[in-house]
Formats: sequence, structure tokens, C-alpha cells
Amino acid sequence: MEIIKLAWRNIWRNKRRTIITASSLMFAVIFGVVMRSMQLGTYDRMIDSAVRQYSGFIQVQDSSYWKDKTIDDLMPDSMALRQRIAKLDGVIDVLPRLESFALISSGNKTKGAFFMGIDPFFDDEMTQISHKVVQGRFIKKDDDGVLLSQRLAAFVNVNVGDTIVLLSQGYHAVTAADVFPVRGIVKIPNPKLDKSLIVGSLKKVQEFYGAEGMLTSMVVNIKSRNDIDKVLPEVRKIIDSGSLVALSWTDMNKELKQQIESDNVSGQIMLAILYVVIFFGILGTIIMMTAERRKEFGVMVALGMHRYYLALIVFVETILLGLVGAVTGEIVSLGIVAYYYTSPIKIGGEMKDIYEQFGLEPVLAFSKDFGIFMNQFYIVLALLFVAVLYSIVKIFGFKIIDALHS
Amino acid sequence: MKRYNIILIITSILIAGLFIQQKANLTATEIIVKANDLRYGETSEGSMDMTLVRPTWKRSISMKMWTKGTDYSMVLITAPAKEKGQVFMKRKTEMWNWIPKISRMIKLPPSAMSQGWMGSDYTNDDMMNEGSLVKKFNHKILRIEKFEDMDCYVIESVPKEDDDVIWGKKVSWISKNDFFTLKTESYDEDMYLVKTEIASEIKIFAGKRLPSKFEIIPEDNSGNKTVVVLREIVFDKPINESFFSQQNMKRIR
Repeated sequence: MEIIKLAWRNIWRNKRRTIITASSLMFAVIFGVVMRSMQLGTYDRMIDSAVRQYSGFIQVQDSSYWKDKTIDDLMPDSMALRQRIAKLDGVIDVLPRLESFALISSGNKTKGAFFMGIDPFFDDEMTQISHKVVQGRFIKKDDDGVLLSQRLAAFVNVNVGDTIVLLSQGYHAVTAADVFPVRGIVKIPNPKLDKSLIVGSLKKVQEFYGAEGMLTSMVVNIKSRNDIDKVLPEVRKIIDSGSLVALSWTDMNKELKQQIESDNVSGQIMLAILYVVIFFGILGTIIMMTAERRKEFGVMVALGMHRYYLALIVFVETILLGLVGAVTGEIVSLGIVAYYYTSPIKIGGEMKDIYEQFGLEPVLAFSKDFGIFMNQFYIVLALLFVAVLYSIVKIFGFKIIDALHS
Repeated sequence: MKRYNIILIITSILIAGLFIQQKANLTATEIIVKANDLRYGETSEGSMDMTLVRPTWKRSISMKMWTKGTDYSMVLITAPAKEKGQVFMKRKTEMWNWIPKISRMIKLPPSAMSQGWMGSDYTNDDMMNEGSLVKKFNHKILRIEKFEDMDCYVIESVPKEDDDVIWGKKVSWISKNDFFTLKTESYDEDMYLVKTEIASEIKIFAGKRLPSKFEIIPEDNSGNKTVVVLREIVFDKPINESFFSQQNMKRIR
């Protein structure tokens, strides 16, 4: 206790030095936390828009579907199988889906689109697509009509209540052609999907493709992304491994995963460079402090203070200094992250186009994962520990005579 | 005078010989024309079933077909129910598709000509442009050989320059006696074999002997083939050109 009191008084003897050191630590924490939070938050957002709002984290498919994704490699729908998977621990529900390509036509506008048949209730539980309806209404079970994504609807120039023509090749090369009324328009965050998605009820889409009772996939809606490694083997146990496969989102979104991994590494390198700069900043102030207090140390030791006790006080001083800097840094960055978490930065101008070309939502989102805050805290303190070794070595090494004369 | 007679006799023999020569040895083009006339006549009206065979499934389609010369043809799908009423029509170089369910008349673009017709191994070009072998190709007899116990002319057909043909060449086996096209090989522009068509099961239709079963076997997808079986066909029943119109596509049953 005595030591802490002494150390606390010591650091405030030279206010300016303390404030400079503490604020350099504070900025290190702020930079680290904000940068990491933005990166991880943006990854979460990317995964969310590509996976949770669309493909799901686990899918069961016909074993030959994934390779060519043709409408001929379908799996039979089975209520029994869906229920068995839904009963697994960590699984919320199982979503039946049938999806393929179709030409959409209205007036003299025609475009290639992606036609997805869903069970409106189960799908909405996971994707919350009904919240994205900006015009008209969400589809009902076995609805005759369809939902169009916003930019697709704008391209073919249709509104709610209009009728569109869809044309495609169905199951076993049957001609798929029909007209559908537009029930609603949905705004999808993922720009690629927003330009091409048509959503219909499973029953109607099966009829359209001549694939009654067939599915392209069963999407397994799980409670948390972290449960995948636990749930996936269980799903694999249940399904007939001869004709069906269970894929995880990383199998289905290899590009996204690689994109995130490479971006993450570059982020970590940036952070490492930042830490090197900060480390030398800290080391500089500690060398300065040790040099300034050389005479003081000499006097203390000359008066009979043990060198290890002196070293201990300097060590505690440094820790206190670190805590002051890091804690203020945490508080400030918590404020920044909390603000941007609720209102993410929207990217505009040319960068927006670049993001959209990559099929990404032009938004920098933030993560409020507690681990990010703790990690920066630990790293900054660790840097401090390494830097303080300099003054400890000096304390044990100096000659009293030289120190008193300096 | 005597000398004049001799010249006359020699000349007549030569001319007669030439005539006989030509009678016995048809040119390649004449053989192709004869084979085509046998298959399509001046006009034809028939019905047939097409079966798509794939490694894991098969599916059948029934249809009616009308043709007039090489310029006009019309195909009406009669089964299965989902596709019933669909009509394809070729008028000279244009090809149209009527889909009653969406009330749309679709003009097939030239780029679609090499795509499969109704998901089969027949291309749109095969289905609608068959007669163009006569007009758009130059023919040459390669050899005479036996195929399925029949003496056949083997004829190589190479597209004429500046013609919009999707093939590099075609080789046909045409029987010497009946002019049945028993086998046709189609090669792409790099002269790789793309598919083989084989005709078999000769039957009599309205007094005319014809192969009734046609199989198309593509080269690149093993296990895939398309089989067309002719159920009935009549030839040279007068059909007006106006039959092949967009209005009629919507009416036809």
C-alpha cells in the first residue's frame, strides 16, 4: 500500500511528463480499439449481409448441386428430415428453399434475375426480409405473387400491383414460363442481390420450375455463428450421406472468407506498425525519466534504500501511469465506438461504387465486442512492461558516485 | 460421207455414254437433295415423340410438325400438360416461339440457334433449319461403304463461304437404294466431332418407306442422348404459306 501511495505521489511530481506519457498511451489505445472495432465490425456486417440475410450458416443440399448449381440436381423435400434437424441443440429452424435463374420481363425490359422460393414464415425468422419491404406487403404462405428487390424493380420499371413475366428452364429441362403479380418491393442491403432478387412462395416457385416437392437446399438457421462447429457434425450425422451434403457458410462463401482473411492480415500489420511507433514513444519517455531522475536515484541509494525497492517503486509508478493512460483511452474509445455502432459510417462518392462493384454494402460498421477493448488494454500494458525494463536495468547498474555527480 | 457417219456414231456413243454415266453416278448434291426430299417432301405433316435421356432421368415430349420446302416449319407441343400449346415456327431465317401461358411471342436471336431445343440435344438450328444442308453447304462424295447392311454414300458437306452456319462440316451416310440418311456426324469449326445422329427402324408411312427412329448422341456428355420417334407423317398435302404465320401460331391446335 505504502509503495502505491509513494509511486502515485512520485508520478504527479512531474505533471507535464506524466500527462505526455499517459496521453500517448491513451491515443495508442484509442487508435487500436477504433481501428480493430471498425475492421471486425465491417466483417461482421459483410458476413451478416451475405450469410445471415441470405445463404444461412449451414445448408443441406443434394450432393451434386453445389458443383454446377443446376436445377436438375435437386433434393426431395422431407418434413421429417426438417423436423429432425430443427430439434438439434443450437438450431432454431430449418428453411426449405428452391432457387434458380429466370428471365424477368415487363414491357420491353428484360433482365436475368435470381428467383428464390421460400416459406415466408421460416425464412423471415432468419433473414427478417419482411422488415425490408419498402412498398406493398410481404408474401404469404403459398402466395401467387412475388417480391422484387428494389433496384431490379426500378430496372424493369414495375410497381406493386403490376404483373411480371418470368421465363426459364425448369426441372428436367421443362419450359418454365408464367406471369406473377408483384406484391411488394424489398430493399436488400447486399447490392448484388438488390439488383437481381425475386422472392416467391415455395409452392409457386416449385410449380413454376416443374419441381413439385423438390428443393435446392434446406437452410439451417442456428442460434449463433459460433455454434457451427458443434451443429454441423450433428447435421451430417442425421442426413443420408449418400445423396445429401451439409455445407457451412465458409464452404459456400469462399471468396468472402478469403477477402476477410486477407483484409484482416493487412489490418493486423497496420496495427503492429502502430504498436512499434508507440513502443518507441514510451521507451523514449522512460529513458528521459530515468536520465532526469539519475541524481535522485543516486541520493536514495546513498541514503540506504535498497535498489530492488527503488526498482519496485519505479515499476509500480509505470504501471499506474499505464493504467491512467489506458483507462482514459478505453473510456474515450468506448464513447466513439458506441456512437458509430448505432450510426455506422456510410461511404459515398467513388468509394461507394467500388464497394458495390465488389458486391459489398458501402458501410463501415463497428463492433462492440468486449474482447477488442481488453486486447488493446493488455497489449499497451505489455509494451509498457518491456519499456520499463530499461529503467530497472539502469537502477541496478548505476554507480552511486557517478549518479551523485551528475 | 462414210467418215461423217463414223463421227456421228462416235459422238452419239459418247453422248449416250455420258448420259448413262450420269444416270449411274449421281453427284453428291443430287444425293443430298434426294435424301432431303424423301425426309420432308414438298410439304409434310406429322407427329412424333421426343425423349431426353440423361444419366439419372428421362423425359418425353410429344409434338406435331408441319414443314413446307426448306423455308417454313412449325412445331406444336402436345404433351406434357405443362408445355402443351407451345409453338415454334421458322419462316426463312427467322425463328419464333409462342408461349401461351405468358401470351408472349419470342423471337429467338441468332445466338440462340446453337442452343438446345427444349433442353434436348437437338439445337434450335437442327430443329428448324434442317433443310439448309441443301442450300448452305457444298457436298463431296468421300467413299461408298456399308452401314447397317446397306450400301451407303458417305458425303462430306462443308458450309459455303459467307454463310451463317454453326458447323465446321457434316458427314452423312445416305443409303444407295432408298436415300435414307442413316447417320450424320456434325463437326465444329475446329473439326472436332460434336454429335452423331443415327436413323433406324424403317417403317412405311402413307406408302413411303422411312426410318422412324432418330437418335442424337452428343460427344461431350456421355450418357446423354435424345431419341425422336416418328408416329405418323403424310407428305405433299397442300399447305398454304400463310399457314406459317404468327397469327396461326396462336390458333393452331
